[in-house]
Amino acid sequence: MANILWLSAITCNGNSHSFLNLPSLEEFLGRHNFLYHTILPSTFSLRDIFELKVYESIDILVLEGTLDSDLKKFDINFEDILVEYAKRAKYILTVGTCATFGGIFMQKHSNRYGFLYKNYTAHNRFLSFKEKSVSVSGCPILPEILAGVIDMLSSNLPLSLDEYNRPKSFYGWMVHNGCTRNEYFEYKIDNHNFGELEGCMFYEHGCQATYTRGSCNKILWNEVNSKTRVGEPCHGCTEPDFPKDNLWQTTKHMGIPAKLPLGVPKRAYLSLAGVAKAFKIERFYKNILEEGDS
Amino acid sequence: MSSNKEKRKLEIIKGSLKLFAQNGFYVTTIPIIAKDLGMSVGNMYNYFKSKEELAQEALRFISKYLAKDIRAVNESNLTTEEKIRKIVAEYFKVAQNDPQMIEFFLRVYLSNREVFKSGCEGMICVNEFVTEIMIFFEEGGSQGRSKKPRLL
Ligand code: SF4
Ligand code: SF4
Repeated sequence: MANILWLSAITCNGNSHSFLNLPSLEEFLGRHNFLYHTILPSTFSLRDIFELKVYESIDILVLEGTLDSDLKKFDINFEDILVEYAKRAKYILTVGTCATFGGIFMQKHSNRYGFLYKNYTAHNRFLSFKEKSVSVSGCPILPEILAGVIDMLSSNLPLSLDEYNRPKSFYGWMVHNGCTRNEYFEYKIDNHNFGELEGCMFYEHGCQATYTRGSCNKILWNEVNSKTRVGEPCHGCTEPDFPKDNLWQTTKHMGIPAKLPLGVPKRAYLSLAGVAKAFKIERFYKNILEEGDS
Repeated sequence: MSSNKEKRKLEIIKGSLKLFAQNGFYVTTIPIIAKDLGMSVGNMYNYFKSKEELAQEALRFISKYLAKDIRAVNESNLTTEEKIRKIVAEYFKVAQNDPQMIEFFLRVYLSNREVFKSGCEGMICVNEFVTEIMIFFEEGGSQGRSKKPRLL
């Protein structure tokens, strides 16, 4: 069992809400205890938390939202409270891209930041806590990832982390892995209309899944679907530079996507594209469901 | 394949390339090529199953040959403008020293498309060359220097 304290900085509470969609929430709540959560039943009130009335041991401190050194709650500086509990916590989870990299609520505010990073750059404010921190990015997070990380930490299972402290079991591969449109990607066929099941959205529609780390096509949202499977491009919400502009369009130079699948050199990409495009395969240009019975 | 056979194969490609470029694809027959290379017709078929295959190999050879020079330019630290000059200069150098390369391209590849229909679909036989050209345009394009229609 873990004692969890959930603190929200500047946030839409999207991660608090997303967490409620955990299919096994009941079991989770049977295993773990929330000292405080924005919505779920908790041992303490938010005022108790800010008046430092919590003496229980804290296994996991969850931070949601973008930080701002001027942020106050109950007239108390948020970061003072954060540091107080961070010192006492065994682990700190930055939950969501705002808490991890700055995210949406950092836009147009140069004085805001994530817990350890501001976009791609590490800053020093909370550096002493880096060792016990784990980044769970996403806008919002997949509830299964958060629950999985909490379970792994509280069972003392080793977590292998990437350069931004994200657990590799969930962020080691690209969101593109597991998309049902992979076949269209292979043959470089976009030919997509929003909502349709055909086509790959990498070439025209701005899909960022080939350079976005995450599990959206392996752990499906609400156990049902993913953005890219259903026909909406991945916006790269787990990455340090989220959000960007122009999310439904692929930026190209001379017809070549400006950003290529992670680690793939331009020369390799173009050679493969040349071969893939040499053959026109009829099946990939058809709207399968509207074609009628055969 | 033994390196001797490879070497011989390359000689045949180069020899036929010259003849194709000079006289065109249809006038140039396997016996003519064999004679020019001092080989028997039978032996020629040990290397290439048909004249089409030979022409396709010749095309691949040119593509690789030209790509090598452009790749060196692409990988250099020159500015876009210097790169353009360098590529044009390379092109003229090839046209002067190895005119058959350019001739083959214009006279055979672009004129006798039927020879390349099966085996050289799309741009697969000129992939190396096209890739380098695209990298060249793309890099110019991403710096806002070149404006060209898309190739792929
Ligand atoms: S739509 Fe996106 S995730 Fe799906 S195959 Fe294409 S690039 Fe990959
Ligand atoms: S598909 Fe992409 S944008 Fe959508 S939730 Fe997953 S990582 Fe974020």
